[in-house]
Amino acid sequence: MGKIILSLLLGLYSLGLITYTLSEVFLAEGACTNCYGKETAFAGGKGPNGEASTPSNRYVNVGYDNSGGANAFTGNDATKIASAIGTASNAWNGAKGEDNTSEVPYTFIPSQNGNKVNVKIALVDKVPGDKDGGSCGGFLANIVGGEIKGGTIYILKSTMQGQTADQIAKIVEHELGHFMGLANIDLSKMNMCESIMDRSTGDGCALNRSISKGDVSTVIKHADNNQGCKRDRNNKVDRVEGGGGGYTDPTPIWYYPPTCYYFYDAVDYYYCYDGCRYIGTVYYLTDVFCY
Amino acid sequence: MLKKSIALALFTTVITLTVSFYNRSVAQSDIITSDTLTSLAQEAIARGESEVSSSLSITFNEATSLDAAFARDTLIVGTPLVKKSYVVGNQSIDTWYKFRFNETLQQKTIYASVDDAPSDMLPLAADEFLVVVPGGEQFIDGVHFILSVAQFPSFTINQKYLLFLNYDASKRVGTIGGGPTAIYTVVYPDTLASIFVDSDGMPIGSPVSDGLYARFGNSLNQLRNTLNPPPPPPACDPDGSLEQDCNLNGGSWNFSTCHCSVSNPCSTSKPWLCDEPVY
Repeated sequence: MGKIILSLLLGLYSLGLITYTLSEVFLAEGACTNCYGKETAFAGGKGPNGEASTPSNRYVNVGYDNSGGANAFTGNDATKIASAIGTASNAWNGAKGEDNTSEVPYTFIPSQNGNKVNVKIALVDKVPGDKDGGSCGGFLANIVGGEIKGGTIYILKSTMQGQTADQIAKIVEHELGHFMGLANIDLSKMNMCESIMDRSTGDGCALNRSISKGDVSTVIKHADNNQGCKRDRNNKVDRVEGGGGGYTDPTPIWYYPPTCYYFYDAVDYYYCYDGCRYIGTVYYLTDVFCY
Repeated sequence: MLKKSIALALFTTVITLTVSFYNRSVAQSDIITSDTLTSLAQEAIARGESEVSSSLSITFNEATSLDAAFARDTLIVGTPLVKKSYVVGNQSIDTWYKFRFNETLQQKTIYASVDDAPSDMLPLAADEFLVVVPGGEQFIDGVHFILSVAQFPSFTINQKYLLFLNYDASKRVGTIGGGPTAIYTVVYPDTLASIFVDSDGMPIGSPVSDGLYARFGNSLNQLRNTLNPPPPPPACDPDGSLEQDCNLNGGSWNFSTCHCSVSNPCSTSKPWLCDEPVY
């Protein structure tokens, strides 16, 4: 009887291992894409006819600045960005997850209705916050009570002039990824897997990446209470303050293994008969201190 | 007739109101204006809130390898003393830190221009420099505005850091092009710890941090000795014993000439030492 139970347990264990291994193989692509934790995903805006969003279908109206101000798109740039928004929206709306059926719970709608727009696109000389020219675009998330309420995508003027509408669409897709909670692919994982959140391997700001199944699955994970999302979008600016001087451990370690010091007395023994001869040394443990 | 007039009046009124509402709705809804910090603050006020949080996601100009960082960046060990945040162009907030130099490991020329320091962060003492980073806190129209940058925490005052900087030596101002992958805390006595961590506090790999671990074991001392190796022992004193003897006798050892100079107590400045009677 005992052998039967043990065999059943071992069988279940093996089955679990196989399932885990298979899931790791098929989820490997998604492992590259990281998402922001400790935040609530955008709940959704108004649909094309004013209908409300639902958790599985969140409308996102995307429009560009046409105010005529310093950050507005005009003329050919306006035509190009309108085309890019349409292409990027279709790309995300049609993308499938790792199971080949699931989709992001967002529906992107190009819209120039100022009363509805949730994500605005602004034309800038320099991405705000970018001190050294590393960014071809950027995304500013508006956060209220820990919930994403909308945001602004920044597109460089030089990028608008140097890239086609389809290339601009790639940048918009990347920034919409940030809106949906995706973080940049780490530089140490660059080129390791397909992701729209990876960096360009081309010249300048030509982003030669595409939305992957892993990207879609990670967006779904983020929208679903962002369980397992471990990147930090909303760093507390005043996270730690020293002020009092002295040493501060910046990376708390949960467990320090103890270090023990052993103290011995060494006693040499001699055999003495017609002179003395060394026999050996015996060590006696006298103290142990562990810290 | 009256009925016709009333009907006409009603009809024209309806038409006028329809056209008016249509035009108004077009005027109100067809213009999209980019957000500014001021507009976001005003929206917060309209919602009855006194605090606004925003977060920037940008791509930093990270070095693709440790050698690339060595070739490009100025490496300074410094300690932040004070900080102050400023609104920049109504779209962003920058925070300026005044650092004290601990040591400069290597100096390179700037690869991107840096901003001029705010006047109230000047003047700088001889052992001070400034670092400007994106993000910070400011009050805008009475609203507490917090702008954070994804994965980029603020510096801790009085904590020692190793910084990979785009540093303008003439202005004594640096920027951190590599973002969080270019900042390391110096943990007593000389261990480097990356600040690029996930929400569990676990380090996130980067080419620079991986290189620092693989080649220097995260030791600032080893990094220092590699970038600025100590002079090799002279051939005339390979084990340093002559130098040690010289120092013990109160002399000064010259590495280049292998000569020990012992100061003569019988100098013109101390004549009484020379005039002692001989018995």
